[in-house]
Amino acid sequence: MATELNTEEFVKWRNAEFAGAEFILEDGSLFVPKGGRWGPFISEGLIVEKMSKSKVNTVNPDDLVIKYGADTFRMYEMFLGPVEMSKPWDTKGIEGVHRFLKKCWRLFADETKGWIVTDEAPTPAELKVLHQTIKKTEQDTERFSFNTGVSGFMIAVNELNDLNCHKRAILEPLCILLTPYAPHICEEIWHRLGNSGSVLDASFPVFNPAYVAETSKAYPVAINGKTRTELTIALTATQAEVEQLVLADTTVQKWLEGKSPKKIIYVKNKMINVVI
Amino acid sequence: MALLVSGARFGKDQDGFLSLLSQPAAATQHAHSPTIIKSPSGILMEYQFRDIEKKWQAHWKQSGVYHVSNESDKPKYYVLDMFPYPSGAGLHVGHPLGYIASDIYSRFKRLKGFNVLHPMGYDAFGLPAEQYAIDHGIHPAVSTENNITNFRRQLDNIGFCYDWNREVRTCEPSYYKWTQWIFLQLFGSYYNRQTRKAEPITELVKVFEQNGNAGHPCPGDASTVFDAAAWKGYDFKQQQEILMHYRLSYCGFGEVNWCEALGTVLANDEVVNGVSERGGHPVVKKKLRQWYLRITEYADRLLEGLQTVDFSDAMKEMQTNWIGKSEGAEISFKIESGKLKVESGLRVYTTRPDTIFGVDFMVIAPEHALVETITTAEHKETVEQYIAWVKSRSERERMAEKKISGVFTGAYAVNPFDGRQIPIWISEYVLAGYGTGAIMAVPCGDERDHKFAKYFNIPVTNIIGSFYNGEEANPTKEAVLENSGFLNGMLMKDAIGAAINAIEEKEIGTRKVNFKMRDAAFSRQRYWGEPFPVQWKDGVAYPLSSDALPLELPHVDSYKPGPEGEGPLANIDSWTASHYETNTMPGYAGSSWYFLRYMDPANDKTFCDRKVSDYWGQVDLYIGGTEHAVGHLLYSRMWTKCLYDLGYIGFDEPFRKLVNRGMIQVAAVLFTGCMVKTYLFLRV
Repeated sequence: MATELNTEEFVKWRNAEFAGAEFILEDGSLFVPKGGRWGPFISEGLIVEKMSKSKVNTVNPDDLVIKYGADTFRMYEMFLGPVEMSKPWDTKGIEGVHRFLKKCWRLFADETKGWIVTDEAPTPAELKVLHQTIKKTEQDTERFSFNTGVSGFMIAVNELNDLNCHKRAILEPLCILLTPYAPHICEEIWHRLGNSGSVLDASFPVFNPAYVAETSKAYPVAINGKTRTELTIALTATQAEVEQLVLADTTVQKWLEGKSPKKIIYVKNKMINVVI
Repeated sequence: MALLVSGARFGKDQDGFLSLLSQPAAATQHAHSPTIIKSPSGILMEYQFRDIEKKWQAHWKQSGVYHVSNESDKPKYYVLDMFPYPSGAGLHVGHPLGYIASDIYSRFKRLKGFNVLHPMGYDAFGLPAEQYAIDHGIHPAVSTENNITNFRRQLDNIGFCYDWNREVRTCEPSYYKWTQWIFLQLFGSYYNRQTRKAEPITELVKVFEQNGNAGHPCPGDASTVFDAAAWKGYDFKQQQEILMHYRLSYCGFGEVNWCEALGTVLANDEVVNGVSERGGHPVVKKKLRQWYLRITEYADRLLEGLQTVDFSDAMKEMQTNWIGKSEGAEISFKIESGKLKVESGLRVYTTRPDTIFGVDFMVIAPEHALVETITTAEHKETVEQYIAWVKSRSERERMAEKKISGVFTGAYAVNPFDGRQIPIWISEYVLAGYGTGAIMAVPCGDERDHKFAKYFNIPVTNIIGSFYNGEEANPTKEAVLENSGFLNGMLMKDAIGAAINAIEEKEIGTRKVNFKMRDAAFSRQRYWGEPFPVQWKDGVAYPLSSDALPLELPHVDSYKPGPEGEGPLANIDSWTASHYETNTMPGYAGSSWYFLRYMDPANDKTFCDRKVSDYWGQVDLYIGGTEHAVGHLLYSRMWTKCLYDLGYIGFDEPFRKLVNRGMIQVAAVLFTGCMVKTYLFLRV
């Protein structure tokens, strides 16, 4: 049966999610023109149809799994948005998720050099990335915010890539964190790292706040009350150490014109003022 | 709400859409042969996702890594997906949204040290398989099996951590044996309003033998009142008829959409404008024997239970509205029709007894039992014509209708407080199944009544002064009453209680809680469902004994309906010779308890061992769509409460937390000639 769309009801539907939609009815079918609420998703105009079990016009996940793999498909479906929200299916972004997994793989393996994971001790910067990711994954997964969970992994892999980190001490816990989202690749990595049994029998890494604590701060440095430069100084620095660093700074030296300052005021976590 | 576009147009474009789908497949051909890069040691070091995924899926299957034990020192966690109906179309991108979310959460919980139950199965009985059988001559068992094989292949491709040892299929005799068994528990129980729980009906019989039914008013027929002597005086059949009015699953008579030309009963969706959607044949209402669940007895507990579960506010609101609890009064109006006086009166239920002086007319449903009695001779013909027309319309059409229709019966009700004569009308907007099937109409306070009064030129009594502007009704409770006898000068919301007190004092009515929810229809005149474990002899339903279960669905060669609207089972001689019930259970029977079977799927002694259900307890996380808000999610809550009351499980709410997944709206670019169009397909 051809059924006419009740456009008034339609815009009120789902908490007015479609409130911005415009409608053109043509041959009893519904057109939503370019622009408006659906602008980003359409190139010309669109017809709205409620898919039902009996219709054959479904999009089959098999094709996507064959082309990109199950892990990419899983992460991509989650990346689309909050699980409770309705969202348009658009495979454009799936390439990006697939590239992320490739990049993740390259932290462990190099196409020409082979397996490149080392047993070196991790740096504070690397530990910070790991523990931020532990905290984020745990929080996001616990509150079913899987889309932000996925983007958290993307940030972590980018940062570890920038740090050129190939250390087991960082990457093995990362592999456990990623397992719920991309189980196949993680099982493979877990195995290649020399572990026996399933990665699912590992323990979830424990977050240590000490690793993510800020160790230094960028202070604005003022000369006679007017900010002239910025200096990054360890939070543990003493007054004497701060004075030494300030006096060594070229911008400060320029303003001092060879004179000694009357006073250097240092307020921890706030500011530095050089009184001439 | 209708979202379908014209079928013809869609059909035309569908080929284009399908050919589009083949494009990624073509691209896959190239992707299949990547440049092979080897490390110096000769090991492939590119991200070979196809090899990796195939290898680990095979390994997981072989090593049983997802096998879950019912005995563990770890804390338990139960993650459940709404299991799919295995349709021929297979899985689409909308299904996995919830499945992936639950899989991530299950794996996460396992890593956090929990013993995680995460099962999957198939809701395998249902109409599409039967329709497919009718169209293609393939037995539903065969097409269902094929579809399940396809679903399983697709699910495996995505790498879920289901414990497949626990798979359930609702259409398997080893499963529906227990669906039938639970049905028998419901059949053998009543709801004790004093203890507020289900109890064996054998206990009720003992009470009847001692005291009659004074302490247990009959939920199915309030007029059934008897003492112990009367009970003992009834013959077996009479006693069984009375007990049927108490049972939690019971047989009664209900109206169905009957299409003579197709020789079948149609669902509400299959009736459009009084004719069948297929073929356009006339459809009439027909009373047929139907099974029901007495879910109304659980209305209060279903409401209270919502306070103990973690569902979204929207979901709780949907269920609350569906149950529709309201408090008000049932009032009896005397009737005068010509010389006829009906002393028993016209019973109406109202939530606004404070407006009783504003009643300008009464409306009764066309199916109301009093229609024939009270209609005067001069109105007989128009009333009959009107009723014939209404019979051709579905309940949904009647509710959605904006045009006003109705006929005057010639009879009057008498206002119990001021003796005013109130005309009694018949209109389709009053449904027989809701409340008493009659309403008192207060046009100044109710917009529907107001439109009716204006349309038929019935004078409107204003009882709310300046709150009523003569143009539209005002449903306020804040007005000070006028023209209202002893209620004059009272604020309406305070007058509600005063009016009820006066009504009770005059003994013309009682304070009453009303529910919008009706008992749930629990039978279909179809083949592909669970047979009822019931035999009929001399009009009495005899339950099969537990050891006779399962009562297996017999094989049929034809899915044509039986005579007089009965199901296809009525065509099988051996079935009818054994006097088995010819209806089958509806789609929601098997899904009302499947979460319990996953806990103990192979048990052939009981549906789920009590020790096992005590270990797993409630489903901790349930993920699925909102479309089941007032169906599956209410029925499964009721079944859980019954099983709890009868001591078979230790919890009375099945799902501790519910997460509703959104829809995936599928957009695809479609090329038609030189025009580029984007089509959006909405998936619920």
